[in-house]
Amino acid sequence: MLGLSLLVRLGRRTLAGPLAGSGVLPASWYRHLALAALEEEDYPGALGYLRWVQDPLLPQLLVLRLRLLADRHGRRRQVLSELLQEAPAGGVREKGQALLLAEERALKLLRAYEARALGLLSKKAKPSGAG
Amino acid sequence: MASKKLSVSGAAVGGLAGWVAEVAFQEITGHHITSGILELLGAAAGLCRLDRRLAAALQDTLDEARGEDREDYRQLKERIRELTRDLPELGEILDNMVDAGLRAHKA
Repeated sequence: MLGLSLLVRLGRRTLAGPLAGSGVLPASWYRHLALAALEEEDYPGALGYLRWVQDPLLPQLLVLRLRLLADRHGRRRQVLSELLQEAPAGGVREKGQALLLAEERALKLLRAYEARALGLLSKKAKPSGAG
Repeated sequence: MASKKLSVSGAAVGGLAGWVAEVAFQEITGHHITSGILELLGAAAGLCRLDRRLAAALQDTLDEARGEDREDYRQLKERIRELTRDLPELGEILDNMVDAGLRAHKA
């Protein structure tokens, strides 16, 4: 019984981790995983699965989502920096600056994800025999 | 066409048989199979509905692009065009979706 239990656990771990990460599963499975990650707004997870998706539409969708999110953070950052220019020195100003830093970090991260997604797209656009 | 009859007792017997099978499997292997079967069914359902999920993801993205101030269709089209300049397939699909929304709004 213990042996069977260990075997089942090992099988599940292999399927969930190394096997899914190796790209040997069908492309539709990776589309399902990438869509699920997009639905949960797990962008690094989606990027991981999109390597194995043949369809260029999903990476494009991810790029657009990231751009929209970056746009929202950019607007927030702009409003915050305008408010900070008028805010008097003190606790409120410090909190505002901490928020501004968080927004900048978020923007940096989103741009890094976008660059990775665009990299995936350019790889897919290249003909397979070219490299 | 033969009429379909629902049997309450049949359903009860089926449910009981399923429960007995689940308990027996659990006693022998120490595992719950129901959650595993449900996981597999969920994944299978997800795979079968890929196109519908993709359509829903496109619609969500369009709603997101529209913003909180609910831009009008012309502004939305312009924004989509600007953001998808280097994403031709997606740009075309979203453009068509906006046009369809505009037509539905006018009708």
